[in-house]
Amino acid sequence: MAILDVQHLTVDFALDDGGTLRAVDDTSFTIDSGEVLGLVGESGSGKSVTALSIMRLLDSQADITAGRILFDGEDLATKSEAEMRTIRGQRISMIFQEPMTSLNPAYTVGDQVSEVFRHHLHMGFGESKQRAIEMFERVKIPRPKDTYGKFPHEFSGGMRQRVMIAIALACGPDLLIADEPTTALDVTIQAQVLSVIQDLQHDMGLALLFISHDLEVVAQMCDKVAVMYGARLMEVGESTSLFTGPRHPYTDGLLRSIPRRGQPLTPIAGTIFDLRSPPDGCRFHPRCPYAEDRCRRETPELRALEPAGDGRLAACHFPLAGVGAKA
Amino acid sequence: MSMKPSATWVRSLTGACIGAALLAVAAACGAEEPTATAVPTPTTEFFEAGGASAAGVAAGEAELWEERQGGTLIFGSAKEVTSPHAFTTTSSVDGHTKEATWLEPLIQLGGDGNLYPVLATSWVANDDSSVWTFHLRQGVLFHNGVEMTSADVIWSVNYVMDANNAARGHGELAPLVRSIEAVDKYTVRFNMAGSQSSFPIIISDISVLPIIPVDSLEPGEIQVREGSPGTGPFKFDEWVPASKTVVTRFDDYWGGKPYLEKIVFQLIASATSRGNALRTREIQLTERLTPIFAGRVESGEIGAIEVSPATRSGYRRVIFNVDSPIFDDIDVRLAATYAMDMQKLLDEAFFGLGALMDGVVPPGSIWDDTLRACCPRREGDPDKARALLAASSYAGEPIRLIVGRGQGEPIGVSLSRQLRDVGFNVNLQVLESGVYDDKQATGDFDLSPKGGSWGGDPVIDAAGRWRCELTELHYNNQTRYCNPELDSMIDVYYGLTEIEDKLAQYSKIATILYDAVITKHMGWNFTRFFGWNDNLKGFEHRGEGGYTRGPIGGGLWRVYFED
Amino acid sequence: MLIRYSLRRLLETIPTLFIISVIVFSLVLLIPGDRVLVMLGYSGGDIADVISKEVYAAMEIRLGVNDPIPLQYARWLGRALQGDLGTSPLHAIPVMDIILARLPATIYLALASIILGTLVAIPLGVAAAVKQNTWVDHLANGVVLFGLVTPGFWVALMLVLLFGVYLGWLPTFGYTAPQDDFVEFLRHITLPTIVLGLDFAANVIRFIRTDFIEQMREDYVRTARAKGLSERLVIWKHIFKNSMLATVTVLGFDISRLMGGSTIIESIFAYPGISFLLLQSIFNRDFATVQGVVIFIALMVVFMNYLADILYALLNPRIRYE
Repeated sequence: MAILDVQHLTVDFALDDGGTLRAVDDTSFTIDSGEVLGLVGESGSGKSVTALSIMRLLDSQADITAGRILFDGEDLATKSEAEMRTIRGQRISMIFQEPMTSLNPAYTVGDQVSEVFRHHLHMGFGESKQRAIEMFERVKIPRPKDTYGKFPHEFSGGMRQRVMIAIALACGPDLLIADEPTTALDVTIQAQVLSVIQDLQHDMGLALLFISHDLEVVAQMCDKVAVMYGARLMEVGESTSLFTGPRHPYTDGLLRSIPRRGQPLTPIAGTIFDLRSPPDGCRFHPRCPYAEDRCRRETPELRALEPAGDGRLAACHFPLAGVGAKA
Repeated sequence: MSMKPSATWVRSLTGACIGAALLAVAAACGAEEPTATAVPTPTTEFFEAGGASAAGVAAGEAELWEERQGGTLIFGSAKEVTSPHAFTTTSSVDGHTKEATWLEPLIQLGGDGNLYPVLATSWVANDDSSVWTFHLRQGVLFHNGVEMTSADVIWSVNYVMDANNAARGHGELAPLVRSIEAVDKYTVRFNMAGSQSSFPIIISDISVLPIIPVDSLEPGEIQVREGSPGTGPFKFDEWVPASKTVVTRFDDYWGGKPYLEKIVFQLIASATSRGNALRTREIQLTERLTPIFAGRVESGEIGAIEVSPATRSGYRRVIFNVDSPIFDDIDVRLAATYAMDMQKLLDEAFFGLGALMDGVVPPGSIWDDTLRACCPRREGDPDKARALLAASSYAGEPIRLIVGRGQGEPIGVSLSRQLRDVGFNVNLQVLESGVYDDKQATGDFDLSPKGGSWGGDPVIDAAGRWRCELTELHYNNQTRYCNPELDSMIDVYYGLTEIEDKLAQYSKIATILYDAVITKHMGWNFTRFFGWNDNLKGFEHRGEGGYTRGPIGGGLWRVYFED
Repeated sequence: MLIRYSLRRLLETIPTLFIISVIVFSLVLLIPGDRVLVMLGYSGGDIADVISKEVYAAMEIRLGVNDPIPLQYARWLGRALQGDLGTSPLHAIPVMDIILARLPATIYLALASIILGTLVAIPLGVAAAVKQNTWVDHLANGVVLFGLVTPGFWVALMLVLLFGVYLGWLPTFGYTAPQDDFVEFLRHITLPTIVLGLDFAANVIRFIRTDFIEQMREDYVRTARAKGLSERLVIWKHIFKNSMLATVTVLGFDISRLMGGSTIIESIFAYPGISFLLLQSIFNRDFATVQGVVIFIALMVVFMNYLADILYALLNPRIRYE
């Protein structure tokens, strides 16, 4: 059963010049309990805005103009701010890309973790401290007791991200959103942090929305993958099959642009369009090597592909065969 | 009250024959009876009663006293008493405050120009005025309860005479007096340096010679935090620097108990603040209110307050630095003199409040008549100024016109305009008072407006400004004009006894000064006002910024609150 | 660690103070105007016209103005280090005693202004930042503009006219010590406090608003929101403490300014604080007192900045061990 069911989510940004920009356009996906969904795409494709929409933490100039965000059967898009506050940090948590700035420099990390217990579970200082130290243990921070009284600046990025994870998972949420959690970290640290997330996701049976532009990390972490391009979903499918047999030319292009030993690097031609003036028809058509007239006129819907059954969805008039790249 | 100089005032000045009083008073006072007819009755009564007061006041007086006595007067002072030291006077307000309360001189100059007995009841000179004998009032108690005698007067005089004590009156007293001795317990004799007929008027200034008890101060003691005991109607009580001076009633005052129990001289530097505090009755009496405030009282906009102009609060004059390369040429000075229209200046800088003058003499006085006869006023005449300037050595050099901040500013602006109008190149400098004083002392100026106040004799008041020997001390003679002939004329003047002789000598002196063109007199300014709550009674002032003179016509001694 | 940091910062102020003392001493000597003449009653030719050379010389010696300046300085510094700022030539009261006698009045006024200013500025500044472009923001902007644009003396005079002259609620000048009569103390201090407090508030509001808006864009704020914290906690716990870091520095500067007193305000309200003393002492060319008061104010400024540094270190964990 899907813990999160995003249906036709559309988010518009009001621009200073009076115009609007559609950052997320008619996007739908689901995540089951205990499932890990990877959301991939280039910068500016709408991944983070999707995540923040679920948290309802969008900037004041952004607005969810259509769609529903069903969390455990209830539409988050229509919840009041007060209702959202009981959900955030308790049932849905989020960790961010920048561990260096995401923690409050003026408070100890211990306080920032225990605060969640005090706030959501109404614990006292003693108990919340105890629980915070336990969380530090779970995210594998060495000397958790000493850690409690230290300030963020005393830690490395990897440790800070562990603190963020401790905060996020403190109340045992149903859904964790991790927005590029390791992008800012060194490769070795990255692996450690990912393993912490993976272990805890597994132990706690979390649903995880894992946002990344790193396809390899996504392949390693996720059960399911959704590919975004220019505010719309291009393709959704099982992680393994999607990576081995992309059906959307964009997914295909992404995979080809990963540097691999013995294979030529072929970046996708052209550049991403300006979100303020999206092209007609399929948004990928200006860069698509297979584009035809119809692609320029008709916007393809995200739809189940033949052969049915493997749950693969793609928004393409002329999907690829799915076994390797088209010749 | 009137915003213009009152006609009565001018008349009374003339009528009182200030000058005639000089010796006449001295002689008359010897007979214990001032002759001047214009002396206000309370004064006369007062001196009649003076002796009696020690023996006990009449029954009616006692009742009146009971009825009126009590209360604390808060006086809003524009400047502070900078030191309670008896022989240090740093400003006119400083001197007035002391004089109004705890210190008294031997004799005082009244608002009518006459000299009145205070601690001395009579004074007489020998034939050539080389010896002056002063009879002291008997039964006068100092605030410490000790009776005043010759010894106290001798000690006070000697203290002032010793340069090491840096007394304010040294400069005036030391050149005149050779020695002082006691004739008896209540008589002292001054042996003068030559003939000094004007001696009484010089010591009538409280800042020259207040009388305090023997040994009140150590030799050379110039720092004190408490006022020495005096003989005045109020005792020194407390002094807080940059804040206030407090005095309390002296019940054994020789003139009779004052009404007020206490007076606080509260320093309120801002004239606006003084006006506001007067309206709220937080203070009941104040000085140096602005013409604007006075105008609003006059028009009835502000009620329950009385105002009165300090008509002789001071005069203004413009001095030339004759040492300066520009004004060492008398023709240039003359051109500048004709360029200045003083009525226009009074209008522009003093709201038209003031009276023109020809020299350091009150308008309408006998001195004034003499001056007008010898030295016709040089009215503003731009055309004449232009002609003189064109014929002179002036070649367009900038004139350093220096003025002090505040009241000096509008004068500077008005003067510059007039001077530029005839072709002078003016460099107006508006300066902080210390800088202004410095530049005058060092001669770093060409032209400057200055103030002054009337002390009762035009030569004695101003002699220091004209003497050659004092050019070295530029804080005295700032025009730097030196004429030995003038100096000897002044010396002669000091020895004259008859008013006719004095007037004749003054005429000569004035002529020399007139021909030298070193000063142009601007006028008396009437822009300072006293103000008081209408329930405060008995306040009179001399009209010259002083609200004092103890027993002479008002002061604070007979001030009381009406319920 | 904080103690060691405090001590180190304290030691660092010593050279500052030394340099200040040299500057103060020499600057005061540069004030134009002959102090001998002033002592002798000469000011702008107002009353005295004859001063004898002998008296001038005697006064010069008495004031000690003829000694070489380094000697004067060394003598002064030596005494100052023992807490003796000299004695005014005008009176026999040690400068330190005069300052100490007047200091409470200035400190009370400064504290009252700071308290009033802070009570107004912090909620208003924060509200303006949080609710940008609403009436609260406009109100705050109004206060800032009013405070910055209108001169203090004008506000003071208007307040005096309104509350003193027309309504008669409050006294227009003066001071009563709190231990003498607390109610009178409050009544006297109210108007000057409003004037100085408003000025203080205007500065602080402007600063807090700008800083708060910047802080609100920080990542840690999003984290706090993502935790599900209430807006109250986000603003008053998370943003506030960070914003205070920067504000404390500004406050420290403003407070030290207030501790030096406000000449114009003290003058208008005839308030017996140290800055009015300074003004009068300059008029009187009472250089001992001028030097004393200026060095004292400088000390206060250095000390308040020092306190602000310590407070900053307390608030900001990052600086502590650096």
